[in-house]
Amino acid sequence: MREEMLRMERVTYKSQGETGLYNFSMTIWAGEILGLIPVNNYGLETLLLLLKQNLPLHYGYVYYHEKLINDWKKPGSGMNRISIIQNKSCLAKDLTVADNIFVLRPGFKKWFMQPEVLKKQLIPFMEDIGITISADAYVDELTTFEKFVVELLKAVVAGSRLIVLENIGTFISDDELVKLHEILRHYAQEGISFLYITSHHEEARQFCDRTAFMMNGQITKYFEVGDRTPDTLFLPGVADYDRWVRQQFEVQEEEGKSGAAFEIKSLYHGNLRNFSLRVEAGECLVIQDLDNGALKDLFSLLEGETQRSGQLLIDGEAVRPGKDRRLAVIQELPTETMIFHNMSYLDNLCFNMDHRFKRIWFAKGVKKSVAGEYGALLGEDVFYQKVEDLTQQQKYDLVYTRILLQNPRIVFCVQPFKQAEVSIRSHIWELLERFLKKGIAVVILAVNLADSLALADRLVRVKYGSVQEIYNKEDFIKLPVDTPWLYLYKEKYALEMEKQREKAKEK
Amino acid sequence: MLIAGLTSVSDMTEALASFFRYTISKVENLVSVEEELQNCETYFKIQQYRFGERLQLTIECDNEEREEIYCCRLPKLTMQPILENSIIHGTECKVGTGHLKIHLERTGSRLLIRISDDGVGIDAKTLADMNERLEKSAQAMSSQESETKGGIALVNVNNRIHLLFGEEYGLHVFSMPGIGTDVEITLPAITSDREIPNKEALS
Repeated sequence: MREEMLRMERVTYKSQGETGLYNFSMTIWAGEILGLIPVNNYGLETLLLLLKQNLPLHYGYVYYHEKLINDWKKPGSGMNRISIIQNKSCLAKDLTVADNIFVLRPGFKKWFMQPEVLKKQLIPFMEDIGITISADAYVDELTTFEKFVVELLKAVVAGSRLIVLENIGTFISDDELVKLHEILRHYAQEGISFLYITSHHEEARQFCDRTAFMMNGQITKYFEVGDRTPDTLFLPGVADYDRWVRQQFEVQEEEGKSGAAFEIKSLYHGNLRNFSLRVEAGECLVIQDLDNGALKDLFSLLEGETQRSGQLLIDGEAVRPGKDRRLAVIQELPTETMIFHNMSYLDNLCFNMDHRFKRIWFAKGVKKSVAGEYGALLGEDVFYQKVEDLTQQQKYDLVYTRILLQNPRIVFCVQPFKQAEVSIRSHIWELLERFLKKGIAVVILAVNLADSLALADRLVRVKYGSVQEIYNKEDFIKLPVDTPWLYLYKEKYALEMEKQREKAKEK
Repeated sequence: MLIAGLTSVSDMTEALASFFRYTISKVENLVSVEEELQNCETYFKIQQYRFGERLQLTIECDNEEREEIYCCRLPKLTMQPILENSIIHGTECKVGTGHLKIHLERTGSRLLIRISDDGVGIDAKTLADMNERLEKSAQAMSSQESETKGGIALVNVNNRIHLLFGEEYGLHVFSMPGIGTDVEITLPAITSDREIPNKEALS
């Protein structure tokens, strides 16, 4: 007899006149890993809120361990023993691993801590999952993956039987993801259930027992292991996206590239060892960090840190990132990290033009001219709005157009598709395409490939701080992982590969 | 007749008779899952006369729990109308073979039946409307809107479940265009009519 861990039966939740979830039904079995793929982000935040806390429902029933915990007629109260692990760490930075796992859990009543006892208590958990993290290490010293493991152990020790993992793939490398899947499978066999939220079904179907698609605050379909999962063509709201991707795919073939816009020669910095790279003007290069060791160092270099040794060149000349407008960086989650609420829209848009106009802050005429020129693209009304009132799409427009106005030779984008829903992802592509059409080289720094592959001309995979593999477009089908948009390359190049194999056999 | 796999008219007649006998007799009673499944298989045989090999049905149930599940009680004509919907609205419009599946599962307190097809599926707007009608089942019965596709059968079954067992049980539809549709029926796992919360609804 199967045991249900969670059942949400036709849940409708409204708050301040807005409907967060509507007629939402979901079942998670004990020991199951359920993949949840939100086609749009509508209702996702509400779902996580309701899992954590029993808020009054407009309609519906919520069961945990087959017990009714929330009912629209008799609202439940309090928190549930359900843990949610997201990109932002919930660990106390100034405490050790053992303190975070044991001391901070609900129900810990001791007044005096005994580090040796806590250390001994941690050992069996670490042995179970085959990971070694020092109990005395402070959270600040841990890698991203280690922090994640500590959060997971914290949830297990706290007695959470359902653990939600949100977009883990965006901050954990492919290698670490494999280890993570083994850990999740281990705990699933012990009866703990997982809700694995990811933007791509290719990632979910690699190891989830079932996957569920969520759209507009409802689960629309479940897929079991072995069921035919759709390519994106069947996903509602994505048909246009898929069509657009295919069109861009053909266009990229026609446009040629020329000249090296940017070069890195024999770089030693942090974890980077003898790292060399070359990017042509108008080229889209994706750098995938396989063990999550290099991205941070690359990013710190681009922010202005000086490298230990090696050269960074733009058009053959040495460049100092952070001080040279020929090199631009678009950070992760740019709508949160690169928009300044204490500045007007026009100031946000134009301040990167200071290398072209010395007194840009006072140059009203220049700003007015920019508004006139880009009004059709950005919308005539945005220039007078407060930046915090902009829609997500308008915010992306603002950041990317700022970089376009800067007119760099190369743009580095750090995980550009992270947390972006489908409609925004296609818009981000259009924005990146504008750079490429202008001859600006684009380098995407990614932990997982996600949507980057469809735009890429080349893929560089980095491990242990140096380049391990380079793939040209026609070699993408040889990639060892099932990744979004790979089917496009398989469609295009599989036939040619087959012909080459047959020729080789004949020889 | 050969296409359908029925070797004679008498087989078809017998199936029809069996189906009608089941349908018209004592509708107000609960039946066992086994009886309801037999009726579904009878109905399926009748449909196979029309579709032949284009239609396939699988019934899935854990072998160890089969006996327990088959003894559970549910309202008569719970599954067959949904199976009929799957054939008419899902599989009939599809090119190629249609695969239907009835999956049965049991927890400590619930019986879960999922009827799936790999037919044409339902678009997002229609799906949302359908589930909304199921949620507001009592109002939907008097609504003019219930004449749209798949509306009446599902609402009828849903209402009967609500009346007998309460609103926490019922139907929910999951679907994706081009992939197929799943109708999930949630019932209490009862083995005796005495366990029905609202016995008056039977009469």
